[in-house]
Amino acid sequence: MVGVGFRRDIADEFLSNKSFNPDFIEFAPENWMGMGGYWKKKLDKAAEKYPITCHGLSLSIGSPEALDYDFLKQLKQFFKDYNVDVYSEHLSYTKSKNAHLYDLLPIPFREDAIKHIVQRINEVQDILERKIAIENVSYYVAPGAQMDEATFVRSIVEEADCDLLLDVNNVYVNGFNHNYDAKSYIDQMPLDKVSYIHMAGHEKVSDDLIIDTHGQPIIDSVYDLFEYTVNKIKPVPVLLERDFNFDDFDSIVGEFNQLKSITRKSWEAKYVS
Amino acid sequence: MYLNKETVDIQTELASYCKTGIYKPIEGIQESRVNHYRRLVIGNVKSTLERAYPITLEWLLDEEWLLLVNDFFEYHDAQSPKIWELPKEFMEFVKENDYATKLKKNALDDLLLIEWVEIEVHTMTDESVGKYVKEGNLIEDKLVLAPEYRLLRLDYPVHALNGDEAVEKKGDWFIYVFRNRETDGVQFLNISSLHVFVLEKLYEKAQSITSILPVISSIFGLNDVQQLKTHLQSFVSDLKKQGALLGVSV
Repeated sequence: MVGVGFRRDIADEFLSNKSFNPDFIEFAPENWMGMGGYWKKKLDKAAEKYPITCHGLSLSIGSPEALDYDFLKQLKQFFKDYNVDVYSEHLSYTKSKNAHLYDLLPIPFREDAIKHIVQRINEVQDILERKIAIENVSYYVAPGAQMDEATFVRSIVEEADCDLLLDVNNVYVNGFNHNYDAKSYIDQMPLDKVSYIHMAGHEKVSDDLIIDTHGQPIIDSVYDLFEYTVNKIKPVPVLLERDFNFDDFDSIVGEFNQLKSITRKSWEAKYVS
Repeated sequence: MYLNKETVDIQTELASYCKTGIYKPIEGIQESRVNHYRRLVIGNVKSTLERAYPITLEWLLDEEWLLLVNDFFEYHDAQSPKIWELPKEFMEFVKENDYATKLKKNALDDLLLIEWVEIEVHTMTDESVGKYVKEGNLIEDKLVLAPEYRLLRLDYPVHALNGDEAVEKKGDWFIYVFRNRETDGVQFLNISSLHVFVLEKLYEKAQSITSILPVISSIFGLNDVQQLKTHLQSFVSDLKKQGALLGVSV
């Protein structure tokens, strides 16, 4: 299954472009929850046509402060209303000192942070009555790190008994930015816990820094890393993320088709008799 | 909580830098890279506010707009997990801190209000309405109005004029903002205080113009009931034409 991120700018492509048939759609629940009128109608139409997965932005699993229980209650109702089976969030924090920042800040790779996050994931899973998937995020600095990223991510996923949303582009970006081998990072992940994959484009802003933008086409090296990854895991849903630069929609369809082709080649031979 | 103070402090310092743009060294962080976080955070907030307030953005000088955005994000703690609700917090922050006076832009609060209300009415959750038919007697039958609406009172007619021109027309301006159920678009109608009263009565419960005529006549001191009736017939006919009046209750 290969899906594509459902965004307002391209909502009509999902609803009426006959040559574009993703297997599912994904969106951030925060961007649609509690909304009526025009956009609710679009969402309802999309929900009639496609299975939905949700990828959150504001849970802030790594924040020092308490979880937002009212927000979790709203999420739970929304998932029920839209029959959402898969919910994932970022291994980051977006809220500090009672203020939302609306971007994904890197959590210090530390033992106390692992314990804190494991406890919070368990609490979220209890409240939502479902297992959630946690995504390895891209990061440009590693504040107060006392261990490597792979150890940090693996420890959390294993100790919390949650799933791993493996963002292959983020692995590539982080490998480049922090000078580690992306394939060996993949090998260090608990691959039996991978329940979902993200793929996206990025932008190289300097000789030693790539920013994870979701605005450019996926580059060949990331496709290679993706192929390397899918050959090591069981079939899981794969999502093409694109948040802007929608003008050349055909090229987005092309990326979607390429992902389909790689998953078919890697998984159908092995898992479909 | 399992987090120790040192870890909390590191997280707080990074977040504080993103909020204020004022950098203090943080363990393990290269300044040349951390500025991308500030850029991404403030860029996201700024573009959200610019999409919400295109008329205010055009009206203010660039430096005035940047002052509002930067002050808002530095001094206000954003509360909503939904970024599309952030513009409401911005509008409230600007009003509470009286930037209209500081910038000598008297119509600022009204302009932000009307731009926010357009978003609010466009996105507000769908309300249910009782059973109705489109055609009926607009005076004798109980009227059913578009349920997604706001009634506003402004000091300046920013719905019709540029912010600077609107300042010259200070007064009591009443605006009926509603979502057209057929188009899902938001419409603005310039109305009078009498119309506000009529709409408030009709939104309290489905009722007829005839049933509210006595109270309107008494409150507004309009003794010529026939003339009032004719005026209100014209008003509700216009509401029907505009899509605000859905029909009559059955």
